[in-house]
Amino acid sequence: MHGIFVAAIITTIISIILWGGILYWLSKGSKYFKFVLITVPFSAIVNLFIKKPVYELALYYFNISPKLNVSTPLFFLIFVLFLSPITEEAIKLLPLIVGRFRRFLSPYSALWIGFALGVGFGLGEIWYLAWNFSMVPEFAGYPFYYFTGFMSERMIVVFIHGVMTSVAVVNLLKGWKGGLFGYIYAVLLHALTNFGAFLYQIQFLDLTIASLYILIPVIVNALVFERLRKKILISQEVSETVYFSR
Amino acid sequence: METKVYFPRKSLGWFFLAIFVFLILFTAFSMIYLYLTTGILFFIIPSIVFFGIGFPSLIILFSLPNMKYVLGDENLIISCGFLKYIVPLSSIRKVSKRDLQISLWSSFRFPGLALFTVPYVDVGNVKMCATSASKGIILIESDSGLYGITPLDEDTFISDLMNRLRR
Repeated sequence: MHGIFVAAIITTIISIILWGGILYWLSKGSKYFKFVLITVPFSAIVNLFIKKPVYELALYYFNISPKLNVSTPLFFLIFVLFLSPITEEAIKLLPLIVGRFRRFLSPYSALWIGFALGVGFGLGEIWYLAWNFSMVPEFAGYPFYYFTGFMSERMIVVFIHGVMTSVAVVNLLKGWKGGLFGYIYAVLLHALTNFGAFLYQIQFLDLTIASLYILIPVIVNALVFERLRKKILISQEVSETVYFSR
Repeated sequence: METKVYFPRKSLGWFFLAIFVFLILFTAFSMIYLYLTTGILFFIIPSIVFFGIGFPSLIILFSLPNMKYVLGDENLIISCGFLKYIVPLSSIRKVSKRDLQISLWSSFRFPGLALFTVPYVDVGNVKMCATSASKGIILIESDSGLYGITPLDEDTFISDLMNRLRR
């Protein structure tokens, strides 16, 4: 078996234990796990049927070289930076168009439904990227431990996908204006997350610095997630036995 | 009133801490081994970091059996090895029991064990010396901060503390 697929299996198992564990532990149960399964194929769908054709069409229409660098027109670099966030954040919300899924939404469940949808998307993305890597001839003979960078980055990104979708879903409950705000918020978080890889792609940063950059979106997304959780917890009644107060 | 000593309820926190200490020290010694076999100085830096985390954690592991809550006339002393909080009874504003919501931020917290300052999503920072990370925590709010403990004989501890607070 190709090393990248072994790496993908390990990454998927650890991600499920880590982020599935967080989902199970913090949301107190497994009722949101079904939302994880829904979005697993969405990464391949959005990449193959939306992002790739749109990107190729834009390259052709504006007559731009596919080898991006700092001299590529700025408008096109902005287009590339926002192509993934705009399309991926939209498709992750797609299941909520279905009334059967939407009726599960409540001020408490929205955070966990969003998190589950994002985690599912992230798990699917591991396999979409592994499939892409498996077609690169240079990687053919590499054992799985050559892909530790892929494994650690993907594990983190699964969590980040969860947070970004949570932001959008929590705001959906505030009507269409809130929904739009949440979607834009998620798109900006996504663009921030991709920014390091984007700077590497246009040959502005080297790989080491671009890899270290992931720490920034991790901290920002963890802060956002904890803020959302705090809001929910404050709105809920807490069972507390007071023995003494003055 | 005489000084009374209360011990925490039992948990498997020591087991999870032992695994943590083993993994950290194993990694630290592996780094030293790599340095000795390859001569690459770079391996020294992570080994120092891992030893810096591993050895204090090992000391804490051995001091867990000494975790106790000493209730005197003037103070409540919460201690575990070199961790010691002195809470003057006159400074206590509220005593309650509740489950806490853990946060994603790093702290000295394992299933069945929480020590030092631990951030919680719902109540903020709590100075913990408890054999539970979130369930059934006795919270003591005082002028010097919020403390979290888990006495084994909870009813006796609470009634003893109430008697001293109401005097």
